Amino acid sequence: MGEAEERTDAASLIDQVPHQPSRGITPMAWALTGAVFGLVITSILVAVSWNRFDEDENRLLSVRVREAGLVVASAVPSIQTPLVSASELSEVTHASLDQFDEFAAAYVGTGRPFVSLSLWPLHGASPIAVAGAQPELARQPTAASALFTRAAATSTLGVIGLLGSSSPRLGYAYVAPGGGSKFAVYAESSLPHDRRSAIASSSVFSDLNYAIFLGRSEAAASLLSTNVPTLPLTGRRYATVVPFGGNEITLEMAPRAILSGALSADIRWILAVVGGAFSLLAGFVVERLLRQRRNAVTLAGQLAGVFQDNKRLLTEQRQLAVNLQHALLPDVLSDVPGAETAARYLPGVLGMEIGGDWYDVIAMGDHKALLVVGDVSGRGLHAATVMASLRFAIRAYAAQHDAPADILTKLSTLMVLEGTDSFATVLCVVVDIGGREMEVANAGHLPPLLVTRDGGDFMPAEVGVPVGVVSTKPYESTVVPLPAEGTLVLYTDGLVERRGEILDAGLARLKAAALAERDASLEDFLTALLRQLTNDDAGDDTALLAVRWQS
Amino acid sequence: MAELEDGSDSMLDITIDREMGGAVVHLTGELDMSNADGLRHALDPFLTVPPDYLVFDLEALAFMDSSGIAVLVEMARVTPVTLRKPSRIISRVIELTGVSDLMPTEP
Repeated sequence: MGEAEERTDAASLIDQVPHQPSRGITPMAWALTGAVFGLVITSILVAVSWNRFDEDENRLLSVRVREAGLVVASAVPSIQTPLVSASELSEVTHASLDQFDEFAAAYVGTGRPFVSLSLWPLHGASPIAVAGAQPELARQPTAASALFTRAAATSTLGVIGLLGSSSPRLGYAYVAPGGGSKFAVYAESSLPHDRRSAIASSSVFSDLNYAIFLGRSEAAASLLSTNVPTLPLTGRRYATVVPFGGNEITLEMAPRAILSGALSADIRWILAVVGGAFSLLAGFVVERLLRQRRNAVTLAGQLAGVFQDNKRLLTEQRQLAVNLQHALLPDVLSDVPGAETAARYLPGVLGMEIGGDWYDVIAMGDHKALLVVGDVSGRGLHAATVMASLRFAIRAYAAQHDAPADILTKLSTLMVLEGTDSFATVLCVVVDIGGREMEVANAGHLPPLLVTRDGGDFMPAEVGVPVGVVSTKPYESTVVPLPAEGTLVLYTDGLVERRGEILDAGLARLKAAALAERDASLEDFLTALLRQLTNDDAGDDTALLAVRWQS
Repeated sequence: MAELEDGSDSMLDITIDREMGGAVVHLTGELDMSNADGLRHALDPFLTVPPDYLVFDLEALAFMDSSGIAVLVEMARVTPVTLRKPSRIISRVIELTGVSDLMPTEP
């Protein structure tokens, strides 16, 4: 019963260990794979964040450029309005020069929008009136004619770039719409000689490099203004084209600094570093864990092996104990001069644990022997150990020639002193062939059977409590005369107990068998008794001891 | 109500009735080597806290061998044990093993 449970425990434990097929991939390989994987993920994240950052910067730049474009575009009305006013004035005053000059004074000169403001006939080649500097356009009558024609066709300004000479200028022409006008009003504002200008640091555009071109072309010839030493703008840049009068202005800008702020830029680096560090750390951890797991699996395998070993050892141990018990129980009994002795031991089939049955024959001098049979409660090694100590204690007491009752008393004291929870039934019989008497003391054991030529019966005797049980009643010896010849049989309850049966039935069976076989040799006698009384279902151990004498 | 069944044959029913200070243990079935340990286990509380007395009702117990006696004797060490209505078979075993003084019988 115990062993079945044990097997299940061991088996279930083994089953709980996850079975790993043996892999050739080392933990280090896994760790490296993990780290590489982590680094790949990090790279992707960094790339994504870089991309995001890029997009953000572009977006911000485009917003700024369009802002700037709007600022540029909003310059048109401020240019257009005075020209419109001048035109209307001229129409109304029929090109009064004085009126024109008076009007123009507010708009021409240093610190004012224009360097030159002039009144032209619509198809004329040279101006009627000029306020401020001489218009550069006057040197290009063909260009002037074309410009005014263009201006007449639109309700807005005609814009021309006069960028070739040493004093580059931007020209604006206005002709009152409707076709009825005879005049064109023309203004020129000056561009920096090298088109370079710096944006005031207080300006909202101070963190941007710019290049402004007339028209759609970004050719150097079309450059109106820039704040960088060399063109084209490099790096991230954005260009917008804004309508400028009848023409267009291309505004291109590039950031001088990170537009979206330091964190946005740094986040990529933070990601890269942290991600990389984590990848390596994860790789390290993975390697450790896998190595531990590998060790655990190896250990589990070893444990499984240990369990198997344990099981085997336990089985061996039991077998050893059984063998030991057999060894303890003498096969060859002490020679008792004048008597013949024989014994049998039959381990019970219930459970594999050894029982506590024993027998012993102790020669006590001249034609005298102490026969002992006993049964320790319980099973297993503990019972066997108690049994062994009892056996040897009895030998010691016998050597002192203690009477059987005294032996039992001492045994009981011994067991109580030792504090074992066990107790034992013990039967001690001193067979004194020379003295022709027997002395019997019984501690809870079944009575011995005496068989002679004339018959046989169980020897009545006082039955005391098993040894190891505390009792007020002292053990008593019973002395009976010894017949001239006879066979005395001592046994344990395994021989006579049978389920569903009163014990007396088994005793009767023993008696009948003994009587029937009493003429056989002692060995055959015992064999026959065993055969007749036990069957294969015998659960309990059986010990059988017989002594035969003839005087 | 505890039922003890070993992988093998014997069935033993144990019922424990607590009374004022003591207890009555009703045993039904068969008590032998295969389930004596189970009975011992069920009576463990009485070893730790011994009652004033312990009565074993053996009326329905059909069989008891030395292993059963052993358990009763163990109990008799710690508290007065009375065996109530043991069957003839069991009475005989009790007599033969010399424990009838240790554990008086109640018819």
